[in-house]
Amino acid sequence: VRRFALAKEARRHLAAEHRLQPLALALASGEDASIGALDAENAEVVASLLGRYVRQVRGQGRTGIAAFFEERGFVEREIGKFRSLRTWKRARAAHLLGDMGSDRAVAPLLAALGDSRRDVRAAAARSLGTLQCAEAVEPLVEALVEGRVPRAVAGQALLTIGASSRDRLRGLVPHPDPEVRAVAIELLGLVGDASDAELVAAHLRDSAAEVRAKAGRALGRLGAEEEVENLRRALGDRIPFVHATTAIALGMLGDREAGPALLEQARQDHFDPAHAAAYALAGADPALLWDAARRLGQGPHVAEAADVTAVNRTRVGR
Amino acid sequence: VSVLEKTLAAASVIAFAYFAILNTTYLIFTAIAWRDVTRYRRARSYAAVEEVFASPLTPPISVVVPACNEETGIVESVRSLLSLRYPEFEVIVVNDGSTDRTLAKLAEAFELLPVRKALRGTLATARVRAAYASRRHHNLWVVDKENGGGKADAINAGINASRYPYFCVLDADAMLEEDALLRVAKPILDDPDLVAATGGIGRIVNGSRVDHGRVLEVGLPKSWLATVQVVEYFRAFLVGRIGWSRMRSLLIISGAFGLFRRNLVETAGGFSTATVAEDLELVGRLHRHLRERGEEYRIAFIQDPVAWTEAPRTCARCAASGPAGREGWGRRFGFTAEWPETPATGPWGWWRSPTSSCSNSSVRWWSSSATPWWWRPRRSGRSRSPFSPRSSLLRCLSAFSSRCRPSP
Repeated sequence: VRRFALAKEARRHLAAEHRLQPLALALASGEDASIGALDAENAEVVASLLGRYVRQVRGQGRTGIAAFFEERGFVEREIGKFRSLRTWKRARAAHLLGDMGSDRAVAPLLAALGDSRRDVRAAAARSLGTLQCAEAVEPLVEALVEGRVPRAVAGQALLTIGASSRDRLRGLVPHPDPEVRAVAIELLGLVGDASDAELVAAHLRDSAAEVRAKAGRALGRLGAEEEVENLRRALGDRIPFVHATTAIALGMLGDREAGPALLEQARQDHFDPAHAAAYALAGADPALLWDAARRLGQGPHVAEAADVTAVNRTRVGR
Repeated sequence: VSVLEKTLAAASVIAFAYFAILNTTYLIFTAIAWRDVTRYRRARSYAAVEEVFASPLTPPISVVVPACNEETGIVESVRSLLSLRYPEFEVIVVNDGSTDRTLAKLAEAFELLPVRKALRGTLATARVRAAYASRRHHNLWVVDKENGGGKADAINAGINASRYPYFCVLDADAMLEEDALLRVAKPILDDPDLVAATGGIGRIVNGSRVDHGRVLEVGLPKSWLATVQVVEYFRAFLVGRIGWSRMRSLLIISGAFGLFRRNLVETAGGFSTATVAEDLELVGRLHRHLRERGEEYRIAFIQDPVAWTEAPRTCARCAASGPAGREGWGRRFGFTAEWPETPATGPWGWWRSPTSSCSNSSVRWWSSSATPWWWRPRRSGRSRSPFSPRSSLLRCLSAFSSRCRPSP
């Protein structure tokens, strides 16, 4: 009986969505759509539709959506739900507030990052990202480092905030806590540009191996060609996973001069660094890789990378 | 009162007590499961699945698919796997010495080319004959190996070939829902340091409408036997596993669909080739390994990501699937003798392991014993060591005697 009731409800909701979609699209595209006559139930349907669109729209459309939610009292209603004792109500409110696009929600969402339940904190982090709230950068990084918010969710929120988070991330790079440094450098590698390379490269000599590894990877992502000398030196690091990320960076930068050092690393027994070095060599100097692969005793990683590069070339040629 | 009457009375009391305990346990679990499913259903509305999918910080996963004589469905299965929604993953199909055209069909469909693949070599397996990369899909690998006597050996070969820190084991005939990998990985993404393994739910595809490896419409099977198995799957997954998972005593992650931390499985010695219930055995070993190291950990069951599998339609096939479960749970029953020294799953393990071992091994024993002998298939050479009351008793006695032996 319950299943039939739920199915009927779903059908009704779908029909309402179909009927109200033009109105929601008009609002999202910034047109002056008439919404005054909507009853509460239909307004809920429009809200759920706009919630889906808000992440894809900018400018006037976004302002229009936020105004719709604010005028209809949806924002205040969801903020009020943070007082609920039920976790799912608070988490759902935090999630929906992100989809409403209203700046009024920022302060309650920042407060929700300190909620006792992980689900609520994660939903708040995701919504702060959706709202592209620059002042949420430090709390998000702190929450990420302390493990209060899932790494993928907090990281994605910071990336969604985008360029405006860059200055704040730069400020966190010299942080005394190595975990904060590592996270800040990793994210800077994703949202920054070549002008951040010098700051990041300084941490190739950091006391924490995790930070050195992240710095290596970030330099590859930033396309920091002027730092290849430092990266080549970092290939001699004593920690295997630092070799691996540094090799990946050199491969991304296509540094031919690092070829012999990468080949040497690719011949070694440590699986992950050798694997990374072999594939990096395929990117940096494929001729050297193929030449080495023809000779005996170069190790399985060199042979694999050479064969896979050959397969990839046939794929490109298709 | 004759001896016979006394024996019958005692047997009645034992049977009554057994079913009373078992049914009470499942009644409690049903309540727990109801609460958990409701909570999970609500949580789905605010789970940031899209953000996880878009995030470059989501860890990559190797999907290991052991395949032995799977020529009929392997191409469709691999196609459906390649279209999974996950930011970065590779599919490693391990051809476990197939004698049919499994490898040829894969080579034809995905334009495989031989490559010299580097293998980790951390787990011993039967000889790997060759490895192939696909011209069509950069993230598809096929490892061709000699038959090592079971699925465990093939999975171990897949682990050796994997690049990523997590691997997902999947049956070659299973079909995953599009978001299944994202959902099964969610506990690991939420708590990467805590969660050692997660498992999804298995459901029966008989009667459902399927197209290109995707279930379009869920239906019930026409065969009564398959329908009974639908109920049994719900009992096992949605009641049993949720309950045991809640008590942190989950003793099995289904080998049909489970996600594991690779370095942990390597340290624990990989999947055991000495048993046909390698999934059950590995999870027990992981519990013991992590408890002995004094680490806080979690092995979680997720009720939402579904792997669809075909259920046996005939009694003969159903009976053929009996020995694996029977022997697996039977062996675990044999292991109980070791638990007083090293309880595998903590306080609840004292209750959980004997209960499940008794109920599962006895139910499976009865179910397949009840199958008339002329319906049963001939046993292949691979699984010649079925659990029997006699062998279980001997195993228990030998375990106890080794405990009681004075140390040198």
